[in-house]
Amino acid sequence: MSDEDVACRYLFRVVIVGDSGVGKSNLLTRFTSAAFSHDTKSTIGVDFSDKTLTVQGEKVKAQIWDTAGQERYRGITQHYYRGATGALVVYDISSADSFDNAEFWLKEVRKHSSQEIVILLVGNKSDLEERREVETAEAQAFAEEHQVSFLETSALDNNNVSEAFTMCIEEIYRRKVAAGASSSDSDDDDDTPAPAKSKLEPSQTIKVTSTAPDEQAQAQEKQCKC
Amino acid sequence: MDGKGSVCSGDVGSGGMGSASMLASVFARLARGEVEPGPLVDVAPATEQGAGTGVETGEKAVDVGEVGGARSAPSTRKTRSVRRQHWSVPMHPPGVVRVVPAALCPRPAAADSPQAADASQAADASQAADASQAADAPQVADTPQAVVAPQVPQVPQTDEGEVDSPRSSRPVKITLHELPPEALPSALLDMSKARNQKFDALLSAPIIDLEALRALAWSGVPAVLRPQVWALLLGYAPSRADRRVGVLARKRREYVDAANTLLEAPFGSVEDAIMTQIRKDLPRTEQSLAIFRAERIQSALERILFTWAVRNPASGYVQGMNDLAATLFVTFLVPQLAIAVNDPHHQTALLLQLEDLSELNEAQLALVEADSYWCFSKMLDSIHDNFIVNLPGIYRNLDKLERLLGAMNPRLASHLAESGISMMLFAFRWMTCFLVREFPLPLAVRLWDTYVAESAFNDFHVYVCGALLLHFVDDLLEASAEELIMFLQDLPTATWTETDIEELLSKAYVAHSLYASKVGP
Repeated sequence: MSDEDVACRYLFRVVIVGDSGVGKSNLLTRFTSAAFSHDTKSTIGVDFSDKTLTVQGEKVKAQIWDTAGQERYRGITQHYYRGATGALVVYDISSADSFDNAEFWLKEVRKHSSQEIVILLVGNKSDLEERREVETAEAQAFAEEHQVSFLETSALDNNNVSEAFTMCIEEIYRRKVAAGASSSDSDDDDDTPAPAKSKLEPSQTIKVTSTAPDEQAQAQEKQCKC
Repeated sequence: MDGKGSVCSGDVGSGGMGSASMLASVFARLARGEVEPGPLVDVAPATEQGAGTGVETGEKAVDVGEVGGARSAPSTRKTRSVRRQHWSVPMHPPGVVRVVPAALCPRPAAADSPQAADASQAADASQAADASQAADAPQVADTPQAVVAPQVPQVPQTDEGEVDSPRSSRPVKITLHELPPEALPSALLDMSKARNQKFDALLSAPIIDLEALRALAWSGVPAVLRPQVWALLLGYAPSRADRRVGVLARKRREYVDAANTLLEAPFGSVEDAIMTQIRKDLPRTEQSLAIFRAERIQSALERILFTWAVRNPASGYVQGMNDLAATLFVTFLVPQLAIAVNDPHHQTALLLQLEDLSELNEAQLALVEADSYWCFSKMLDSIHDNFIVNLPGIYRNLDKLERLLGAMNPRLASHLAESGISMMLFAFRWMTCFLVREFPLPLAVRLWDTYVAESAFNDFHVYVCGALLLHFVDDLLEASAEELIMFLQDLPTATWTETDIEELLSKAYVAHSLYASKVGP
């Protein structure tokens, strides 16, 4: 099914969470397919995509789980937090309600993840400046208070999207790999529905089929204080 | 399965219930535009008081207060800032006067009080709002036409100036008129086809043989007959012809009354949450089809979903219900669209892409909406477990699918298991939306012919999912974990035809015969 196999040494699992309709699925599509659809349907349960990046010269594959925002699906989406090493908590800058709920999502992810998790706060729909309800400074302060990084993005305008994912993944790399993290922090794989083990041990080699060039490969180092 | 019930081709026609042949010519004239549909109220808000002319046509008063009311509406609750619009529902074209027995349109003795309550709320709101709002409220509160001439708006058209809610121009309220005539589908059915003759013979019986109809419908229903057949098989329309017209008229009125009551009452936090979620989802429901981008259609779906959700608090509104409602709605809409554009040979795929729906009159849309609501309600009755807390119906079906796959193809089952792919990863949406997301909508409708014909929506569906996996077994066995899930969440079905669907159903039928005892209930 693929014409290009790339060996990856690292596999990171990232979940995207946030209120319904803030643009989680479009962020994912923008990042993994470099596309934006105006016909994106609501996510039922969880959707999956992946992308390979190069971080500090190493191939890293990100498995990204895009979750349904509605409360009734929280039981299923929580399932995916456990093995996650990163999370994008997304709100919509034109919806104060969605920002108000960001704290809930932060707690939710931290509560259900099985390990220390790198969290990035993402204010999406930055193209809707004229309908902005959440000031950048307010979100920045919130992010600092909760010790997470923060970016505003637009999946529509392709602004900061790959930067957001890359920032999160690089920070995971920094913490888990550069710091020599053990590989024993993913022993809950029986419970997690990931298609591949999310163990971080470098020995794990995974065949991936990404045909997209790794334009993020040389992404500059960003300070990520999450 | 002979598959004569084509979705994408063939006749489509009127979709009402019943067999009053005398009405056929009237309806045909209506379709040809020779007569005006029933009195309609322009949807423009705040100007509708003047639209009360022409109310006289078989008009029944709308009681917005108590019929179907699911909750009381204390006047102290916050007033929603939505601009309410009225939607007239002529039940008959002019010249057709059907006497509706009083018993079928109950008028509570205290009919005025809810309106008075509404008016007082509106008056309160208007005091704090601008003068134009204030001017609206008393008119409605005091006018006796609010009872005898229901086309006059029952609720003040306020709220334009209010700023405390994100809602701008909706929900749109319905004003009930007489229901449209019962259509005669066979008049538009291609009777040269033996299969259509069978449908016609079954549907014309004084008491419809539902089991025979199920057997026939299993292999597909002509688009023109789907509204009738689905309404019968879902248990909404009575099988007895002599009861059908009256029952359907009553149910349609009941829906409109309930919807209006709920839309008029001030929203509490529950209603706010439901409406907010519905409004997030409808603009992303089947947007590749032009009809679902139309505001009138979205408003109708909004009323259907909101009304159902508020009346069913155990589940409320859950994402995915929009897909189910849209599928039912389009089934009821297509024949009426064909009538509206006066082309019985119009193809469904083209009708779904109609940008201009102005030919579809309010009476037709009301019929579609009310019937869709009740069929949605009937369907949800049988699958309510899929949407209540913890979604037990979904998980039960996922477990069944896992057992089924293990029985059907152990090799594929173990390949998925070894790849770490659980049923939940890819089939959660299949179970929630009954494959509406996995196929072009007309094909999903054809699939649902069979689901409707099966007595339980949930059960046979699992076997269809199993057959679907097996259809792609070669692709799946070659795929790695990531490829598997990417493939399964975006199946290459865009080019499928009805024949493919029917082959799938055949395989599902075989699987059900072979493995039902292993899979269990």
